[in-house]
Amino acid sequence: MKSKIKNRLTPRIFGQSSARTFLLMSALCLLSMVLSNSTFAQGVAAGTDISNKVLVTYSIGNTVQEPIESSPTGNSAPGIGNGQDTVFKVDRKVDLLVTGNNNANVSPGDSQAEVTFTLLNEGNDTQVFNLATNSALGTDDFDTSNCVSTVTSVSGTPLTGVILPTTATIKLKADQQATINVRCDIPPNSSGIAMQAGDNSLLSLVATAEKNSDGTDTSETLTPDASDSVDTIFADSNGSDDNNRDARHSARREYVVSIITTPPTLSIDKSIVSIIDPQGGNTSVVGAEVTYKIQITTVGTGTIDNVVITDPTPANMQYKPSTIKLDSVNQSDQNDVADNSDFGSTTANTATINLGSIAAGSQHEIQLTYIIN
Amino acid sequence: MKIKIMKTLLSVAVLSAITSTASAAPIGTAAGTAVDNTASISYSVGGQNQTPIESSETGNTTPGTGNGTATTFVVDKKVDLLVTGATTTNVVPGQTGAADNTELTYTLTNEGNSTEDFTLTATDNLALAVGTDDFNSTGCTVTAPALPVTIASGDVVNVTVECDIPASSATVTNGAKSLVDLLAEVTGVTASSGADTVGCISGTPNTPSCVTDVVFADGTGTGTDVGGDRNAWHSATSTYIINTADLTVKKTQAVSEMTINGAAVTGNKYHIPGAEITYTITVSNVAGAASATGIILSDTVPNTMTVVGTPTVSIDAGPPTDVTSGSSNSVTSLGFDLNAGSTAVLTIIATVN
Amino acid sequence: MKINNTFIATAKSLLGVVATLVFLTTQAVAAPQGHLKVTSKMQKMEIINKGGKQTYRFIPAAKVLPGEIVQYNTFYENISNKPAGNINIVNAIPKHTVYLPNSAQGKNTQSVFSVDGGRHYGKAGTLKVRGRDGKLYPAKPSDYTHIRWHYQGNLAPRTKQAVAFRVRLR
Repeated sequence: MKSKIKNRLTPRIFGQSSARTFLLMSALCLLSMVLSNSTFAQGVAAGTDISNKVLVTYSIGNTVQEPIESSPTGNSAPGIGNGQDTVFKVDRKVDLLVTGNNNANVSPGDSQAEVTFTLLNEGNDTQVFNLATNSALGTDDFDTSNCVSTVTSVSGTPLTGVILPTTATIKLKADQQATINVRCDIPPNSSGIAMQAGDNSLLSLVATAEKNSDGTDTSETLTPDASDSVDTIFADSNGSDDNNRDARHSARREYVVSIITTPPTLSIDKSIVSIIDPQGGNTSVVGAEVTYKIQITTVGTGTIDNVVITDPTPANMQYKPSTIKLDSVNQSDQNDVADNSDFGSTTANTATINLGSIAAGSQHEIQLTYIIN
Repeated sequence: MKIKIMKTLLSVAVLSAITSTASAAPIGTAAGTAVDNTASISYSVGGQNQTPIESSETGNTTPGTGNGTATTFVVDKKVDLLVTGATTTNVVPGQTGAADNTELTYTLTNEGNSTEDFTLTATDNLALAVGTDDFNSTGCTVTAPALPVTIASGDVVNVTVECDIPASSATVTNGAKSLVDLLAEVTGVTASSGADTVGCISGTPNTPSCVTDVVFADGTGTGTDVGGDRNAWHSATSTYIINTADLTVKKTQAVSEMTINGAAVTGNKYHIPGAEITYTITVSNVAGAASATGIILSDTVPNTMTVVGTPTVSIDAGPPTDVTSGSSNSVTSLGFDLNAGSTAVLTIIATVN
Repeated sequence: MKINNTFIATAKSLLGVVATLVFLTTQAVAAPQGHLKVTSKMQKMEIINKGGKQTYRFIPAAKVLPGEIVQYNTFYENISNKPAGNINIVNAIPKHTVYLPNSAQGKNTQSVFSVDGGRHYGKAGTLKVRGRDGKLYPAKPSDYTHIRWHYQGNLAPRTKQAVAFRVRLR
């Protein structure tokens, strides 16, 4: 399901990719001008020469002698400046960390639901990282689709509008951290079966170091260390979907179905609450007052709009004024702003009770009284 | 014979005031001395012995002792001197003649036949082609005798020269040599020109008043007198030999530990941030050199690294001694001595930041 | 110049020259005259290098330095009209000089040497001197004090002979 979409989208993605990567790189270039120091929290920059030498002072008898400096091969010529530094180049440590930030509660059919990750370059060289999402993970209840990654900021600097396609690269200097939003579509059902609350879909983001700062491919040095060249060593830990020391790191986030949407339904019942005859009995004789109760019951979720209850005066009866109660609150008979109930104003010889929008699941009760002619 | 003995006594008496002068028999007959020769002939005529007749330079026929005339010449002044050196003195770089008595010794012999005054000049000549001259000492001074020095014929004066020894360098190393030239010059003499005279030019023979021809007879010395035959100069060189430590300081580094994700890596290790680098600083003193004293190793580890633990110094693979580490990454060893043939190893472990 | 100690021991040199000149110019009238005329000449012998070969030449003994060689030639001429016999020429080795070995020569002569101031003579190689230790050692040429030549035969009237020796100036 996923791969099909990807194939279809590929031409468009590539077409946009170059322009967006360019924008991203421009932004990073500005950042790099600010970060001029070569020593980072993650260590001395790869390729830095670390050099020093020893100074030896001594005497012969009581005569202080000219100092001698060291050299890598041994120096015997006294005098400052005659030694040579012992130098090594700091090797390239490739290390990265992907962290998932927040999960998303979704409903079936949600479009472009968002989860967030961060990617930190923990190495000591600028790296180009490949970012790939994978929703087809086996242990979850459903798969998301149309996932789009967006880098929203790099080390706290917002990068508005830089949207990465599903598979893309981002260049981070040592110590830089990218915040990545991934938005995916939630299917309306799971392979035709209605979803239940608590159903989940896992999404992984895998970052892979691909290029070094000098443009060479990121590959680990297998030969023994050479002090005068920059060797490459993978030092990353294993994430959710990668291995130890493989120049990759990953994390997973989760979409969880929290609300099942059911269409609200409304039911209405009308019943006689009481009959009071003029003799104090309860027979239906002329002059007897019959009080009706109209019950509105709603179920489901959401709201029910424009709920208007009309009750035309039954035959052989007449309305007893000022008897309309909504949820035990007396209503006026006039069509006024005090309430949304009236008798005869909206529709002649008819009680009209306008409930407007009511939340699904609420219940309302209307009472009113008629007199038998 | 008698006269010779007397002269020796005389020279001792006159010259005893000068220290370190070896009084010897004068070389040659003193200038101004008249040398006489007379032959005497005896004969008989007709068996009768006749009165002997003495000779004269022009011929004498008058018999009898005292009637001849000696054939005579006056000994001229021979100016000749000899400087010997070829001694060696062991010195240490940085020593000064004034403070450390860096003495070189020479002798100066008056090989002429008259008492003369001499001046002496010591130089460490820049380009002496008379032997190994690895470096030049400076400020060479003749410290004995006081100059000018008066030396009787045949006498020998010991000369002392002191120079300043330069600090050690690529050329001033253990065993390096510096030739120092001593030039002696006879003062106040001019070689005779013009006609020779048989007798005194003026004055009386056999007295100091007799002025004779002056002949320079010195040979060619080494060093500054090279090529200077018969110039009233002579020179020789002595040699300073540097006797110092011959230290070699070597500093190597290697990754000693690399931990990734909490696990120490056992295979190839690299210089990545967090890796432990072991610096090995080896100071060795060549066998046969002088002992170096008060050696202090100081190493400022770059601030891109962090020193781990306490650096140590071990001499000849002996037990390691902690090194006082100064503030932050400044490592300074306690002073120690290093004999010839010994090796000290300073070990510093630091992590790459 | 010189002290003419054979002329008058105490005479001054200038007087000596004058006296000699007078003597020479007034030879004919001088009262006592021997049968022989004795002349002593000196020359400096200089070793020179000539075409890579060491040779020597004689120059006037004007500039003489210690170590140099002087040759003395003594000529004796019979100026009488009678033959002279039993001729002995005695020459002290000059002060400040050393006899050069084998340098004594002279036609028809035999030379002997003395190491004791002329009291005793012997052939070269037969003389002995007493060392500081009291022992006797063969004499060296430098020990010689005198040379004596004996002319073998008679020197005929109006004939001339010569002897020579060399010394090195100390």
